[in-house]
Amino acid sequence: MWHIVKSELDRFWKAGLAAAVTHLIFWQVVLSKEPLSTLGGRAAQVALAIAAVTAAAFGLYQIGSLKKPGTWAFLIHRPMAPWKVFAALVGAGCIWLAGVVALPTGLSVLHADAFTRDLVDGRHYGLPFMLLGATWFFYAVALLTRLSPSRSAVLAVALMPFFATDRATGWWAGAALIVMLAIVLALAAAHFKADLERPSRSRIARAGLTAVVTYGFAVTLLWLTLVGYSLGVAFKEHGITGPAKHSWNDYFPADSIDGASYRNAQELLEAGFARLETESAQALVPQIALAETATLIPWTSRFPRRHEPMYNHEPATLWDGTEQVRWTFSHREMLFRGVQKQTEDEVGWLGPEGFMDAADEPRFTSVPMTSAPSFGLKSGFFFTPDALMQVDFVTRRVTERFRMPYGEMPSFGPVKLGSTQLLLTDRALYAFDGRGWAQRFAASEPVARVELPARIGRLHSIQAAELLDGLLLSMIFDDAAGQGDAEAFQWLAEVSLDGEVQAVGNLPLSQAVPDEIRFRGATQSPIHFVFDNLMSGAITSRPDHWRQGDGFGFHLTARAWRWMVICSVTAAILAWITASRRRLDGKTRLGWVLWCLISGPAGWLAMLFLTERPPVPIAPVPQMLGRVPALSAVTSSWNASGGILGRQKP
Amino acid sequence: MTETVIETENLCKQFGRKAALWDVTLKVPRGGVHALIGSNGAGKSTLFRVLLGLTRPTSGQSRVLGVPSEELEPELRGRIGLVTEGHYLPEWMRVDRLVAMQRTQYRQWDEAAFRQVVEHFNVHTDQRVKQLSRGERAGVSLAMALAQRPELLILDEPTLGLDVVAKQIFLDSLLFVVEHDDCTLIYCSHQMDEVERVAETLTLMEKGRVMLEMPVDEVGQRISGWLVGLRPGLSLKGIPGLLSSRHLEDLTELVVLDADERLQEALQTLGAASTTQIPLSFERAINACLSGGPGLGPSDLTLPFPISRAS
Repeated sequence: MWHIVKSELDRFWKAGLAAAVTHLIFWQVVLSKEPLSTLGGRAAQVALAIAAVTAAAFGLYQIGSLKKPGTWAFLIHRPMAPWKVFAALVGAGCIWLAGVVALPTGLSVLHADAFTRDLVDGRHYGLPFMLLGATWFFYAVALLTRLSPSRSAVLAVALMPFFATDRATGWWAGAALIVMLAIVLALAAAHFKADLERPSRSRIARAGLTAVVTYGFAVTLLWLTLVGYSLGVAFKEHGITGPAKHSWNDYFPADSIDGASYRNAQELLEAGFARLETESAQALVPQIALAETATLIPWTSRFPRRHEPMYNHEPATLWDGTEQVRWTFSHREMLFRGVQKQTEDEVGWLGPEGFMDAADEPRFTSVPMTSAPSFGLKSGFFFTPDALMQVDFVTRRVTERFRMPYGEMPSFGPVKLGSTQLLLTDRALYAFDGRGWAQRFAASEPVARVELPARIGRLHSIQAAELLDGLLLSMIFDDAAGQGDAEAFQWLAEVSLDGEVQAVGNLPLSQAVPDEIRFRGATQSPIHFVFDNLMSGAITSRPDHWRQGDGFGFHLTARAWRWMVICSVTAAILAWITASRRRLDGKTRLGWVLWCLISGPAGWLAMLFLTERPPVPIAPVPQMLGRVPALSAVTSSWNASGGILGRQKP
Repeated sequence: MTETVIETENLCKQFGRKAALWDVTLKVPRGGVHALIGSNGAGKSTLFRVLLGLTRPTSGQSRVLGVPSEELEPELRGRIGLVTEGHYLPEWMRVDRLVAMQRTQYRQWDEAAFRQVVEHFNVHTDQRVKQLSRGERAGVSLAMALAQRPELLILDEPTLGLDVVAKQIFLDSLLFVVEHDDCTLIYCSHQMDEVERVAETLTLMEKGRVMLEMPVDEVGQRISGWLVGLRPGLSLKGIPGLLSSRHLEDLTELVVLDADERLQEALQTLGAASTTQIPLSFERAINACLSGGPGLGPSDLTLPFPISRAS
C-alpha cells in the first residue's frame, strides 16, 4: 500500500512543489499589504475558493487519468483489496493537498507570528486546518464524481454545497464538515471497484447516494415552489408590469415582529399610533403620513480590538471624494493611511489630531469605526469608543463632534431627519439641532436625550418622524434574538422642541405569525427539515427551533398534512409503476416504494435518476458460422493431404 | 484444481444497442497456449474485461479458475497475469521502483524470470518508464507478468505497435518462459503469423460471437482452397461449407470448410470444368472465415489485380 502512496507522490511532486511555492508567494504578497488579523473573511473566502477549485481539479485529474481501461486494469487487477488501493490513492492525494494548501498557509502564519509585529493567535493557526478540511472535502467530492458511473454523480456534486454551507456556527461547522467529509469519502470508496460501469452494489453506498440525491431534489422542488408562488403572487396581484413583491410581504401583520421587518418607518409609526386608540394619537396618524421619517438600526455592540477585522471584514476606511483619496486604517501604525485612488501613491497619514506627512505620534489608542455599507456613518465621520469624530478634507481638520457620556458607546448615526440630527448610543437616542450641527464644525450639545426603555441587544430598529412641534419616536424591541426570554414590543414616545420626552405607549408584538400565514408560501418536505436541521447544525446554533417546533409536523395545518399524504402516496404509486417498467426485483421495488412514501416526489425523482432502464433490444447480429463439436474433430480423409502451410514452432 | 481455467456460458455484453459479446460459450482447458483471434471490434478485449470482472456482463456467466468473474478475490487475482494492450505502466516511475512495488504484492514473485526477460530487451532498471521505447515497455510488462508466476496469463494484443525485432524478442521470451512453466496462456491478437507460431488452439471471434474453435494444427486440414472452372454469374450459395469465393479470369477460387463428397457433387451440379486444390496459407484461411461464410457477406469478391493461376 505504501508503495502506491509513494508512486502517487512521485507522480505529482513537481506540480505540488510549483503549486506550494505559488501559494506561499500568494500569502506573502497578501500579508505584506495587510496583517493577517485584519484580512477578514473575504480573503479567507478567496483562499478557500482557490483551494477548493485546486482540490477538485486535482481529484478529477488523479482519478480520471486512471480510468482508462488499460490503466484501470493495471491498478485494480492485483492481489490487493480495492479499498486498500483506494486508501493509498486518497492518502497520497490528501498528503499532496496538505503540502500544497495547508503547509504554505501554516508557514505564512508562522512567519507572521515570528518575524512581524502583527498579532497572530489561535484563530490564525486554525486557518490552515480550516482550509485543509474544506480542501479535502472538495477533493472527496471530485473523487465521488469521477468514480460514480451514473449521471447522478453530477447531481451529487451540485448537492454537496448544501451540506457544506448552512447555518452551522463555530465548532459545529467544523464537526458538520468532518461528518460530510466522512460520508463523501465513504461513498467514493464504495464506488472504487473493479467494475466501474455499474453502480455500486453496496447497500450503504446506494442508500447514501439515494439520500443525497433525494435531498437535492427536495431542496430544488422547495425552491421551485417558492419561486413559482412568488411569481404567481406578483403577477396575480400586481400585474405583469406592477411592482414585484416578496410572496410573504403581504401576509405578515403589522403587529408582529416579522411584520416590523418588512415595513418602513412611516408605516410602523402609523400602525403604532393607530393602535393607541386615544384621540391625540389618532390625530397624529395623518400628520405622520406627511412628515419626514427616518430609521435607525443598531449596528454594533462593541468596538474591534487591534488586529481584529471590522464587522464588515475590512479595515476602517474614509473616503475623500474631492482629492480621490482613500484613507484606510492601518492596525500596524494605528493611523489612517491615505492612498490616491488613480496613482495609488501614498499621500499621508491621519491621526486623532490631524493630518501628517509621515506615520508619527499621536496615534489612535483604539481602533476607530467608519462608514460601511450597512453602517449609518456618513463620509467624514468616524467613531472612537467614546466620541463621534469628523474629518473635514477641505480644511484638513479633525474635530470631536460629540463626546459620549461616561460608559456609553456609539452605535449608529448621525442620521439627518429634517432639521434634526439623530445619534444612537448603546443607552440612548440623542437629538441635535440640525442647523447648528451643519454650521459649526465643533462639538455639539444635544437638545434631547431619550433613554432606551430596554437593553440595546433587543433593539430591532427605531423609527422617527419630525413634526412641527417635535419628534415622534417608535422603538421596536424583539424577543431577545429568538431566545424567548422576553416579549417583543413597540415603544412609542413624543419629544417636544425643548427636549421633553413623553412615553405614550408600549404595545406588545406577536412573536410568531400564525400557521396559516407561515405555511401559505410553501409546504416544505419533512425530509428537508431533517437534513436542514440535523445536518447543518442549525439546531445547535438556534436551540429555540426545538422549543418553537419551527417547521415540524405539529405546526402544519390539516390541509398541508392532506397534501403531503396525497403527494407521498402518489409518489409511491409512481415508484411502483417505475419499478415494474424497469424490471426491478421485489426487494428493491419495495424499498423504493417505502422511500417515496417517506420522501414524496423528491424520492421518486431520485429513483428516476438512480435506477437504470432495462436493456434495449439488441441490434441484429450475424448468424454463427457453425461450432466445431470437438477440438479434435477429424476432417475428411480425401482433404487430409491438402497442401497447407505448416506451423513452425521454436 | 479445475480442468478448465476459463468457462463462459451464454455470455452477452451490450453497450447501448450494440452487442459487444453475444452468446459466447467457451471452455478453455488448463495448460497450453490458446489464441483468441478476431478483427478489430470483434469483442476480444471486452471478453477479457468481463472475465477479469472489470465489466459486468449483460447476461450469462463466466468463471475464471473456477470462480465467477465478479467474485474474484485479491488472492485469486494474484494468480492471473495480465498484459494489456498498449502495455500501460506508470510513466513517472523508475523501472526498479515499479518492480519493487509489484514484488511486495506477489508472493510468488520470480526475480530470476523477471531479470531473464528484461535482459532480453536490454532494459536498464534505473530507467524511467517514460524513457523506454515501446518494445522495451512491452518487455517490462511481460517480464512483470511472468515474474508473478501466474496460473493463467492473459495477453491482450501484446505485440500491437511493436516493430519486427521487438515482436520477435517478445514472442521468443514468451515461448521460452511458457515452455518451462505450468501456465495457461490466452493470447489475443489479430496477427495471424504470431498465432500460428505460438498457439495450440484457436478461437475465432467476429462481431461479438465465437465463430470457430479448433486446434491450430487442424486449420490446414479443415479449411481448403480450390480453383474451379465455373461460368461467371452462377450462384454459389449451394456449395456446402463455402467460406469465400472470388473470380480470377475464367476460374473461381473457393475457400471451403470441411470439404467432402458433397462439395464435389455440388461443383458437378454447377458444371465445373476443372477442380484443383490449391495451397492455402493460415492467414488466408482465417481471413476467409472472418470475411465470408454462409450469409456473412459478399461471396463474389473480384480482386482489383490478377494473381497467377495455381497449378
